[in-house]
Amino acid sequence: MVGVDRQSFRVIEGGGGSVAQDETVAEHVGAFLREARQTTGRSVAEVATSLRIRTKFVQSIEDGRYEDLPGQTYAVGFVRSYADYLGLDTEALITQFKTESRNAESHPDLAFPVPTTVGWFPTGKIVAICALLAVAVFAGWFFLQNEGAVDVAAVPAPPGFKPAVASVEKPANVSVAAAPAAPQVTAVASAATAQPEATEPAGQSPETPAVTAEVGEQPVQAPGPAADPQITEPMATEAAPEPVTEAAAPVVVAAVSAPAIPDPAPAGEVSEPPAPVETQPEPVTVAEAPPPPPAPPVAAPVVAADPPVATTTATQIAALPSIPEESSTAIVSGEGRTYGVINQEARVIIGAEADSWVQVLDEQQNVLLTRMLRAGDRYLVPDRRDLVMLTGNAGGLVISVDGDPVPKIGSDGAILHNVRLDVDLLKAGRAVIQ
Amino acid sequence: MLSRIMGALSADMAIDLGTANTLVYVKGRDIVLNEPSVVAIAESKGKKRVLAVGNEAKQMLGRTPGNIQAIRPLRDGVIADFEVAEEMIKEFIRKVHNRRGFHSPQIVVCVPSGSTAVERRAIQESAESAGARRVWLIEEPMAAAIGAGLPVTEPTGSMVVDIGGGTTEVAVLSLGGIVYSRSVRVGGDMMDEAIIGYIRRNHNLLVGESSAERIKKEIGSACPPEDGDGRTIEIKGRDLMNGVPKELVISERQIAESLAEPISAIIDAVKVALEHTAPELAADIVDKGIVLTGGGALLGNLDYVLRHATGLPVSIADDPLTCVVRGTGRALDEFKRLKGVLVSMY
Repeated sequence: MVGVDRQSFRVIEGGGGSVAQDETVAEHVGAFLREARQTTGRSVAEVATSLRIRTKFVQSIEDGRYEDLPGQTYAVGFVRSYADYLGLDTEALITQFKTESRNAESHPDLAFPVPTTVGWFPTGKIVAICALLAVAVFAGWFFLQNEGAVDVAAVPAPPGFKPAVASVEKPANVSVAAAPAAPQVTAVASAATAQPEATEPAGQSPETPAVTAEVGEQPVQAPGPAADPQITEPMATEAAPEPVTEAAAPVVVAAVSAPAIPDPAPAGEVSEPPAPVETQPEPVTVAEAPPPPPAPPVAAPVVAADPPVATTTATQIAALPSIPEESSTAIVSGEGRTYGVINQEARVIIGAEADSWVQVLDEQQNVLLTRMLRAGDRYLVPDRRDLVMLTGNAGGLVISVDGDPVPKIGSDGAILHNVRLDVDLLKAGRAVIQ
Repeated sequence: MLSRIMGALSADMAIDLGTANTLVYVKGRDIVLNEPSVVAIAESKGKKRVLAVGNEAKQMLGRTPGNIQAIRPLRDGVIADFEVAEEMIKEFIRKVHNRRGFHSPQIVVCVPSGSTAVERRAIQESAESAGARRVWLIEEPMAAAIGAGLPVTEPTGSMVVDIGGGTTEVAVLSLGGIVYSRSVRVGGDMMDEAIIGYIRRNHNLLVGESSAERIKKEIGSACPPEDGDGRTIEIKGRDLMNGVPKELVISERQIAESLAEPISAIIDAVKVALEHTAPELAADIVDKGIVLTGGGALLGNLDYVLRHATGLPVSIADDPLTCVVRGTGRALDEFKRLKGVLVSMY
């Protein structure tokens, strides 16, 4: 019986053992095996022949040169055979041997031979990089495409405007065709449009398309013969009052298309620097011609509120008349806009504390107003008893009658479809009809 | 991609579906099950239901009443009873895979290298119908060599002899593949039968399989002791002459004599394999020798007998019983790297 003390690797004779000695101190398993072999009087060659292990491997084990052995599994097998052959405690020796030869991996790293990839197809990385590049290029192109684009309204223009709109669609083209004079001419036209409206909203024409047609022709004729700018201006001014009401857009459109016809040279003389400067703000602040109550569609001035360039303004205006919006015009006050300013005698005023979508209809389902009232915006409701309001955020609206606020019609975010804008009902808080 | 996510939720497992024992290795949890491949089936009202599997069923082996059958569904390393094998795999998976609600596991099962396509398909289908998401097969000698830690992927020959319950696999491996393999249907079972036959012939005593296995484990030896009769053991069985239970003492020498036939079959298989080995590989094997794995490697003096029969160094692998399942488990752990050794019948 042989015991092995791990730390000092001291062999303790247990009595009856045929191999081990008393108090043998060995450096490593190999040395211990050698001593055990020597006590039995066997030679290395004898062991090698008996175990069929190469002599050099037996030597390697005894000398502790474990790296010379063919592999951990085999080395362990050899040591086990050797220990077994000498009649020693196999398991203890094996455990010791494994800790000693820890540097030799017990599990060899298995790496299968892989055939080298031969193929025309690029590797995944290259494909990924190409895909990224393609996306980047497309994004850049897309950005450049959209950079200078005017946001032409998606709403189709009325039939009468098609050619005009087409000609203004690309402002760049217009300015090129009209040479240096173009902006001025346009500006003058805008002035012409704005001025009459500001001064005299007057005449009310229910037949919009007809008027449009007239207006469309007139300016074209006007600048045609009259290359002299002095004539152009009065003509335009004259033309403007004629179409009267809401014809802001047609005038501008016509004016814009006009410069293409006359010789740009004389137009250059027109240049009145103050004119565009003065006139630009006008369409912004001043309300345009109010419509008759039946509310035929008219240009929305809100869009014109921030005209970047004269031509752009023209484009936007040209595109807008087709929006079937309430004739409401807006006055920009300190904190919000006021719509429906024509309704001077309004008793009911809808104010927005929070953004709320509001639509006001009359009995015939004609839309008087449909828009998002921003916080601070107000709408002066025409003094009629048949109006019905729809709103997407009832809690955001403050309705007042004759200046006195009435009870709220609903909570925040409440969607109401049938709010009677009747003075009495509103006062009584019974305006909401389910 | 999805299967990789689901793989994290399920416990992938490696199964050594052996004739004698089934071992299950669960990825990340080591060997979690090591039980005999025995199923006890109870029949009631014409319906067969699994009564027990594994150790519990093994105790019933040879001791069952009429309505219970204790079956070993594998014979000679392959499935002999398809339905029962399927039930057994299912039960073992259930025992191991306790996260039942999750995704079904991926399973690697080892098959004898000499098994036919039909036998492989049977094993794969059993595992699949037992609830596996994907089944891979690995050849037993390859799994044994990986489990024993042999450098199978290097350009050097390694020879492994895996003596299982039903088959003995002899293989020479190099560069991650099997260069030569030979599977003989001799294994632990055959040794048990040899012991039963020997005792019946010489002592007119009939012993059961379990008793024979116990004798083999306790005093079994591949060669008779140098002098005397060696260790002895008491065995109990039924006397064939007068039909009464009887007890007698049998010696190591007698058992070694009875095992001579299966042992020589194994030696022959190894010799044939060596004959078929390419000279370069044979040169490697002369240096490094043969590694024994499988339960049969534990038979006393088998390494000695093989060493003298072949003239090569013979080593017994560490923990030879679990070599195959450890190798299979390693193939599962290093799935991407070792995918080359896995096969699927579909």
